[in-house]
Amino acid sequence: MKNELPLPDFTSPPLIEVAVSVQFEPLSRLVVPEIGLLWQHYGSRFSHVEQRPPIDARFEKLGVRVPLSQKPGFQLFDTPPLPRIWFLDDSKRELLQIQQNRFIRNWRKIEDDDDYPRYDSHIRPRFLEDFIDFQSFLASNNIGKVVPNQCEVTYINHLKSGDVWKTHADIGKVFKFWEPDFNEGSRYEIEDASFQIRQLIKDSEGEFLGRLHITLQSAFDENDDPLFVLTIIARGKPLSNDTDGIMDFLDLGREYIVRSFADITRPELHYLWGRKD
Amino acid sequence: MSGLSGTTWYNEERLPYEGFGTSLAKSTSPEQDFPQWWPAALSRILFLLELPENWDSYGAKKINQQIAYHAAQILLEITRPGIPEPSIVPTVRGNLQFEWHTKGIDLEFEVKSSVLISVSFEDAVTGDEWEKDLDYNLIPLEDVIRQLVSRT
Repeated sequence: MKNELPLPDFTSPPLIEVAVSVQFEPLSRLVVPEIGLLWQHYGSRFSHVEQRPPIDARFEKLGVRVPLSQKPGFQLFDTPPLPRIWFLDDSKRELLQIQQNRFIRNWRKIEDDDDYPRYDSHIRPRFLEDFIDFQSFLASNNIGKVVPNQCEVTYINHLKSGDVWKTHADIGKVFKFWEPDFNEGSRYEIEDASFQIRQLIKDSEGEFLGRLHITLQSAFDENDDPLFVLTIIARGKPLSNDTDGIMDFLDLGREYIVRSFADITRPELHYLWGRKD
Repeated sequence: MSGLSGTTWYNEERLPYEGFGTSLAKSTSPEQDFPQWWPAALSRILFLLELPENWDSYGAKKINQQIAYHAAQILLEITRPGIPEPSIVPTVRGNLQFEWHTKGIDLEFEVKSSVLISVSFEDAVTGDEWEKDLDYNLIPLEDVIRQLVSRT
């Protein structure tokens, strides 16, 4: 449900990657020669190409049992699936990922002093521009039409240790729903911690649209200092089958992500990240 | 690994997970509680995928591989302990249909795309009867599957 309160806003959010994605019915004519044409089409904008395994189709539905792993455990196809292709710009910060049933656009933090370029002024317009261009390419090469079935926004944050928290056992100093002195009161030493939360995404009528997946992992940075990796994914159905319907879900998903991020993290960290609202 | 569409990977060498217990909680993963009839169902689907065009000699379409894949996935998703083995039949449109006719319940659903299924339900005991197209909300199907399981 859309919320009319202003979105939480941070000068220096701990984001290291944002991915915006559309999943659609497979384009059976998007095969290797067409991928070559697409690379040619992008020219110097995305001059580097890499090949990756495809991502399985994923759907948010109500009334099904939730798989811990999305791997279905069976294979029906007699030919290997076509790969997912990465198209990278020279800086490697901007990335397009394309496979037969998915279009993804990523921004990645490469250098420590890279600033997050903001959703409204960079992430959203770049995705929209490239997605429209992709659809035009499909049409002009008679490859097919995008029929979307799921949209997805992913925010990956690196929460670094420092003055507010020092070890993974201090998880309560990072997240509001964890007792701040949980570690002090614990009988045994805590080595690391993780969690996974799922929330429902609904439209203004309260109808199910999808889910928000919040995942925390303990990890270490390149200097061996502890950090928490907080990944938040909003996935659900487009509000309509056209580009506007896709963008509407993406905007709503991004709103859920930003509000949830602010809701679960502690104000002491918001201060460090320069919360402005 | 990071988020599905993200590209960031983390070194998990320092994050060992060594579990020696057996599952105490009821699993939510279909992989961990496949019904006993699952291999037979999968064999049946593979067999149906081999049917040629016009397999009924009335112009029926060949079974669509993508639809068959989604059908198998949906079957796994709605499966719960105690569910009887369904009949799996091809449709002339090139889709797959799952059917249960047992203990007064007639339940059929045809998987028409990755997100669209048509469900038909009749219960001779309660007199309930309905037909619906479902997409992302499969709760009506979940409810009748629960009735089916409780009665068998």
